[in-house]
Amino acid sequence: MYGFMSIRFTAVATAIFAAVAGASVRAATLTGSVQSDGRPLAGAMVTAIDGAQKLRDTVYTDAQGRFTLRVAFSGPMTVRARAPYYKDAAQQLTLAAEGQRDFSFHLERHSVAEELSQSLPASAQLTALSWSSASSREAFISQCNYCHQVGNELTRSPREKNAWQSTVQRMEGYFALLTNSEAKEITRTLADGFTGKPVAAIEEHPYQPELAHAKVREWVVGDAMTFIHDAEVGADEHLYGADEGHDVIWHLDRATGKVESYAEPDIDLPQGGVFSGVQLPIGVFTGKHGPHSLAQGRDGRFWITNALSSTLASFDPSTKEFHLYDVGRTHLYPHTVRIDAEGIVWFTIVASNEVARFDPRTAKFTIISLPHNGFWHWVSDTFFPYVLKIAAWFPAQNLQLAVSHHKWADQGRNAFSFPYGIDVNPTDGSIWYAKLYAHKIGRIDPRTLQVREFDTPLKGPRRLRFDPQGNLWIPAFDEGGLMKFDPKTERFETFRLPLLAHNEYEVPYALNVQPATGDVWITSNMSDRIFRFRPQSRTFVTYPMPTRVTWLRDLVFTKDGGVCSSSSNLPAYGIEGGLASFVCLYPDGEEGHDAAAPTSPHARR
Amino acid sequence: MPSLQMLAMYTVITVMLLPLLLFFSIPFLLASVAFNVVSAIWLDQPVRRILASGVAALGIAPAYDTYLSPRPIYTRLFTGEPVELGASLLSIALTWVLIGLVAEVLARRWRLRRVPNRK
Repeated sequence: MYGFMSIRFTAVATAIFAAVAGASVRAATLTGSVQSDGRPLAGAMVTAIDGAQKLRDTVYTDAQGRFTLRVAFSGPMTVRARAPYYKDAAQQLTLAAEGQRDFSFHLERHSVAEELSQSLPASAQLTALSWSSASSREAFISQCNYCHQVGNELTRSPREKNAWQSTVQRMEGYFALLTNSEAKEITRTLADGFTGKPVAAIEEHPYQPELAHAKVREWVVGDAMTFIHDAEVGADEHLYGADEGHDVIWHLDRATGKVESYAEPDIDLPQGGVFSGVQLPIGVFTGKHGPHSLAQGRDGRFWITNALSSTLASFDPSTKEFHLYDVGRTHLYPHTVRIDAEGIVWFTIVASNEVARFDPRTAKFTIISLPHNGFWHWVSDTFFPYVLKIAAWFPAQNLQLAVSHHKWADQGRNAFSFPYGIDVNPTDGSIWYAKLYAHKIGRIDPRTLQVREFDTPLKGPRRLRFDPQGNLWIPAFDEGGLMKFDPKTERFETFRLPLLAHNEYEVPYALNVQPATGDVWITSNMSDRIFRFRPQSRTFVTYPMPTRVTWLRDLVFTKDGGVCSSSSNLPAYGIEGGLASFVCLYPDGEEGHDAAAPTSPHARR
Repeated sequence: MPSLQMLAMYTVITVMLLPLLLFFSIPFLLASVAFNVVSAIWLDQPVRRILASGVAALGIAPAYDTYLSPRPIYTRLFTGEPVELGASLLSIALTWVLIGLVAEVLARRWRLRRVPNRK
């Protein structure tokens, strides 16, 4: 444990709003319709963007093409209507507090193939890629899509094979675990596929009536290099986000829109922390800790996994104090963190194939080594920490790529197990984790620490969560699926996520189960949508996101019905608008929240 | 990256993956030993050792890929990977010298060990 208490409290108020206490005013209201050729467009997204472009409010049109949007700001703003297959339409206006405006949008259908293609999401652009083998396609999905979309405007520009080769090699330095043949095949496929020619627009966007009630609010946070990996809702109903790139915790008061950031204390490690030998994403990973995941304990303290410094941090939101606890530098990449009913902090340690148990009362760690699942995994678990130690002699030179058996033994991602998501079974307190590359889930008895594992029917189990009845829901990242596991019967059920077109795919990164409704909310990430799965009817509702390149990680719930996350495509400048954000989707609207909404700084002048 | 640091990195990588290089070179090491035994009929010991070291060097001498990962040159030629001629010749020459030195050291040790046994 580090014996210092950091009080480096950096209130980098990004001035989304002036946040003058008690100065909030009532929201403005926009009403109207979205049509094309005289016909109403159902499910179109109407977004109001404040004058400072820091806050975006979005609603969907109903079956008659009508909308009512109560915006959380007043003053100058841009109002945009967007619908698939149609050109965006936007209007600039200035609204006084409590002002109202009624107007109509008339959208023009795309008639130029290139423009239409440009408007399609990454999932559609990816259909331009022609894979010579299923295995290389699987490697691409598993290793290239977990940090960012490929196929969005930033990543689909035509390049020569040599340029793609250096890009792929750079991504390998960022921990894309590819064999040489996979790297070669991905390079060829990207060079041959992304030629700039338009892709066929065959997506279908059926209207779902649930959209008419929903609202999306996005708070822009940080700069183009901000990387808010995970978000969590605090007991104060504020959002907190771990910025893995810059060693800060972001804090958003949803009611006032005030954003602050708190810097983690310094540590005796070089930039990149334990991973200083690895060439981390340029300009994004500039810190030493790499805060990755966070969860709040009953005493109010957040527990944060610092992936790069192999530490666990506590953060007290009332005093803004951090405290660091050293996990040990051979325990590589503390990952997802959850807290059980007794206040014990559990987290996966992804690159060492371990789960850690931390008791805040005694400040003691217990490291649980998970089954190796084969010889090459054993090699990784045993030697990889030392490889990284040696690699650190040569900062950012990627020595590990030269010596790692994932390359020379042609193992790729199969050289690692990667225990990833973790959750606590609410019915018996057992701890369950997902092994991303071993395609397993496992159970840890919290008292005996005995481990038992199960093979998953779909590949790429990622961030799993329990429902209140004790069923485990697991996103299958590699296969675009959803799995349900009943620990009592030890049986799986699988579901396919809905696609926009038959030749597309989805990469569900995380999910969460809304305790009140039992609905399973799932990130999609290739098509800028969020899924809501209703277990009773076994049906999906899909919510299109208003911002292109929406890449979400942990989903969390607010008491006022919001489903929130952080938009964390890596890098943030690949997101439409070029900045990261906190995102909340209110499926039943945002009643009671708008009334206390703040005004925009422009309106105050 | 400064060239000295790069040299150090190449050295560390090569040492770390030496077991792998030796594994790949087993056929050449066997051929080297066989040559050393068979050529005893017509060649003197120093010449035999130099030539046998050369055979071993052909199997061990590494070529480095874009990740700086070493593998014996001959395996890269087998799999059709690009190998630079100049770098390969340098690698073989260096490896040859190193193996020759190691062989000399081992031979001396072996001779020293045999002398007291005869007493």
